[in-house]
Amino acid sequence: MPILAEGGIPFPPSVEDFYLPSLVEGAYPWLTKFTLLVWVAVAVLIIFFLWAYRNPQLVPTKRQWIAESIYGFARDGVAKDMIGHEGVRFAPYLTTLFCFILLTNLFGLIPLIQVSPNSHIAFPIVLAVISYVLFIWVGIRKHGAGKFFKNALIPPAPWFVLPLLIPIEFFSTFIVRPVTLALRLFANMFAGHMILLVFTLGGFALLGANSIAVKSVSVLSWGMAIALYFLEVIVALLQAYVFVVLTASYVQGALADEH
Amino acid sequence: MDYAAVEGSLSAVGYGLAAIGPGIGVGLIFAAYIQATARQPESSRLTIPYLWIGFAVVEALALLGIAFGFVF
Amino acid sequence: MAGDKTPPDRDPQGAGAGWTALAYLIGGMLVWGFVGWLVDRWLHTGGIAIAVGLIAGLAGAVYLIARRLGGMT
Repeated sequence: MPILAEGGIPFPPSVEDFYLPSLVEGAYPWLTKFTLLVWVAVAVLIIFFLWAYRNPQLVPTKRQWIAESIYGFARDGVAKDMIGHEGVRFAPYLTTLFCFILLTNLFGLIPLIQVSPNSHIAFPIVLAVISYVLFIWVGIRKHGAGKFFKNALIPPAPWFVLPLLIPIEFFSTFIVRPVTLALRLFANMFAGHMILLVFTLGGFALLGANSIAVKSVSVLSWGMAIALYFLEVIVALLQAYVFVVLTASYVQGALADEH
Repeated sequence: MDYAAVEGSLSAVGYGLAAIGPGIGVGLIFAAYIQATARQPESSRLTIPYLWIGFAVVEALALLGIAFGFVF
Repeated sequence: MAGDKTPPDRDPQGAGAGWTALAYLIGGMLVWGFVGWLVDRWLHTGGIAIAVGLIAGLAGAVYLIARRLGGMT
């Protein structure tokens, strides 16, 4: 239960506010607003790309041009740039990942939706696990399991310092990478939503004060909320881009040939 | 009899003091990189290894500061 | 520099490099600090083993960063 300030406003916001109730009373606890939003995001992406490629023409129509621009950005700017000529294989996955994360991030900013599924750690964890399995799988398929782990774990160093370095390499490649991928996306979305809640609800809480001086500070609080809203738009774009770029970077590292 | 006493978390104060040096150090390193790249943009690719090595060594001291706060 | 593909080295440049450096630093300290903590509990050295572990992890991490990201000729 949220702690209510005077006047019945749920201030300050806490982690409990992120545990939403089920959409169906008493049954299906997993069917919350977050689940519905993820389904909506998937449906929007599928429908948009199918509809944009309904009748592909050589001189693209406007909707085809938008879809091609998105795919071109992910393919040229990320896949080819980071992975090289083998990157075209990964361009569809990277485009989908980018669009999905961008859409779910932006859900936190659309009125009436106002929460991003990525502010629940579960969804970034799944995305990070997929990227993690991807770069290990790709590396094993290209180099063979033994050679891949040998390249990944044994740094170029004299033999007597290797016992010091191999645990660090293992930890930093196989544990830190997926954890930070998930945690970076989750923390940005969670903190952004939290800070918007603080300033918006804080404005209402300040409005419930007695003196007129404190009441007028609530306008400042809402002004900050508007400014931070624009920051959140930038953060949403940036976090989607960073996730995709890091995934591409890990795939490139797995595919790279040894000197 | 105590002539002077510090109450509260001495580790946090220690970390705060320990973070002054690395803070300035990291700023100097990146400032040097930016200036060098501004003077001669072609050198940016050559100097980037030194950027990361310098950052690592300076940041090591800051991380030691925060770690020792928990150890001792 | 059209057509200038990045050389097939394992070092991430750009976005990956900063995170790699931080990952090595924190990861090295965590791994060997944990080992140092275990040794400390075993030998009851009163914190010295943890400090040794932390510094060893830090040295290893800086060495790895110098090797991986310091692509000096």
